[in-house]
Amino acid sequence: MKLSVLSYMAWGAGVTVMLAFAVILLSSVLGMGLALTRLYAWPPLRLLAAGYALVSRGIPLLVLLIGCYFSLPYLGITLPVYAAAIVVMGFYFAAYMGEVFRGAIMAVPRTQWDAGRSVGFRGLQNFSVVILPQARRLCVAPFLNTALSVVKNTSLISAIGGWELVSAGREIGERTGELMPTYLGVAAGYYLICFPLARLATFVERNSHA
Amino acid sequence: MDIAFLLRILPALLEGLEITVALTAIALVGAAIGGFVVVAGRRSRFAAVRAVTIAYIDIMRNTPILAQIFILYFGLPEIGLYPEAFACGVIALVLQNSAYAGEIYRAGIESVKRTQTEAALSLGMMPRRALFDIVLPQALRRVLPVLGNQAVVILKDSSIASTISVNELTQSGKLLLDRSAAPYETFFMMAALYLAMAAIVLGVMKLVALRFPVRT
Amino acid sequence: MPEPLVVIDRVGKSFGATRVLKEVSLTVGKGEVVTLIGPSGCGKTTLLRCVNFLETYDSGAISIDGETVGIRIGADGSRKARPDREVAAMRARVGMVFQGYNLFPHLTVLDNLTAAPVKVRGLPLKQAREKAMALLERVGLSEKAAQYPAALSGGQQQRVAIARTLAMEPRLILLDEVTSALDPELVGEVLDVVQSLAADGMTMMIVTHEMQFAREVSRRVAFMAAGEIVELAPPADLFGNPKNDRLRAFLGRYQAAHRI
Repeated sequence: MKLSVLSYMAWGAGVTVMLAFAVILLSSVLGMGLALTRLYAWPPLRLLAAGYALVSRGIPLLVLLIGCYFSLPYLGITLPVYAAAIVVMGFYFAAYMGEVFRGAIMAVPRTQWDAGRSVGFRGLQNFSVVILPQARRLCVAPFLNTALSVVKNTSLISAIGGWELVSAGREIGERTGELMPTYLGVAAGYYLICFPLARLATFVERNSHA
Repeated sequence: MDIAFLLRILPALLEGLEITVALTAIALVGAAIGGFVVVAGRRSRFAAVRAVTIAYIDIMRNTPILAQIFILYFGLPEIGLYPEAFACGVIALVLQNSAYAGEIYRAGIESVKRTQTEAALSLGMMPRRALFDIVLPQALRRVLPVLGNQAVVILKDSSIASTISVNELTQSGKLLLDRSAAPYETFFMMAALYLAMAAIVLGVMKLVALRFPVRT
Repeated sequence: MPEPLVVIDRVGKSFGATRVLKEVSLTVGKGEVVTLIGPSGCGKTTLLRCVNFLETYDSGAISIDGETVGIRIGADGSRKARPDREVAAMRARVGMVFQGYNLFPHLTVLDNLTAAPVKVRGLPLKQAREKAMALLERVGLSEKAAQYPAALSGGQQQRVAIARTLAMEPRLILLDEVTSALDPELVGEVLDVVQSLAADGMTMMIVTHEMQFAREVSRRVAFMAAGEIVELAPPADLFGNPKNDRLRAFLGRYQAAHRI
């Protein structure tokens, strides 16, 4: 494979990684908020949060991206493609991250709360000193799996005109006419990006069964 | 929200919905069966078969379905195969989700205690019989919720086919969005239809789970 | 001495570097009840599981009614594993009852009993069901036939497990600590069933912690320690006049623990 092609693809991969990173960051922050809301907030808010999670997980991301791409001009908002995509994906994956965090917190045995209270911790302190560290350990594997999903889903940004690895591949393919090797290269690129995440997730999964 | 408009675009969207349902249904069956092939390979006595299966799962896990569908639709013609867009969609969905289904089946099988197999063997059952009649029924019941989620994933991933112009729901919606001046209604309708389908899929799974409960 | 049914001849087994069974020899005659007792880790459960080949053994031979279990020994002494079919056929004539009952949770009590006769022996379902109901009568649980195991108490599940092995008309039943997982008040109902099996002439090999029961039901008791049978005698002799030091220590600890 020619060096210029390789470096073009590498550039695309780099954009993918940056996009994924931004989405993971945004969705984690929102997701944490969502998880805490669903667990501890005023019941009507809890219901709203649950509804949000449901909706996010029932509508394809592509539909959300396309919907936003077409609606934003009508609202008079002109966001650059990347920003729009990151926001949409951030909110979409917030539902998944929320489930990851909520699941991890709920997986800490009830008895730990009692244990914390019995040594004098109360409320917020109990939560942050006793529960949170344990939940953190439990959420690593599903978090990594969700992050993996984020990376793969950044490919959809190409469908609304954003430039990333798949777009790079498409352009190269159109120019060289060799579509099969190019798209195989794109797949390989994703594999290389995802591989460490997947391995890490498997490693964590295997070791949290102690 | 223009209700009249909503009703006018509905027929076009419903045509797309039909294709989505077809895509999803075929892919569901394909992945359900494919999953068995994958788990059998993953648990095979032959190291080579296991290695190939693990590599397959690895590749499916680490590459986006969009790339896979492009490889099939744009790449295969270069080696003389010209699959239809719909077929590419189905194949990509089945390949991806067989891997996930297989891993779900495997988790289910491994969650059934070894003592169940021992009890079956000690009654004189052959190992394969013990697996199919005693372990598998229990394993599948346990993973029904996860399988249900995976089914919804297949439903959502069917929208990827729109990128190669399969006329399913997302593509129909996209065309409407292009032409009409009312993106909200179109988007709302698309979203509502997907949600309805997801709800039906999950509902069916719930019914199946009621019929085949885990009884421990 | 009744005709031998199970012949265990200098059987040895290692788990990695640990030698779990050291040249164990024992003969069980038809209609005999032999109980294995001993401290944890002495190999009694492993030996039992070797008899129906749930565990493999490295040296020596176990044979039931003249047929070697799990392996075929050539004229030159070579050991070849038997095909699955032969092992399964042998297991169909040997019943095993486990500490954890191991009933199939997704099947009703009745289906638990008919599963093997129908699938392994090819018995017509109607016939299998009739036999199963008769067996449930015998263990006193015929009214539970349509229920699922989860609805039964431990003692009831274990009695169903015993009925399940009887459904295959075994010539030998292995019982592996069948009361150890039960609440004390449920132990009696299970031991009563085992007693009745012994009275009916069923050949049994039992691993248990219940010394009183071992005394009542066994023709002979074998005390095992560190992979060997250290003393083998009728219960009156073994419990009343223990010769071996380790056995004396074991019985002493047991009596001390139960003095409460």
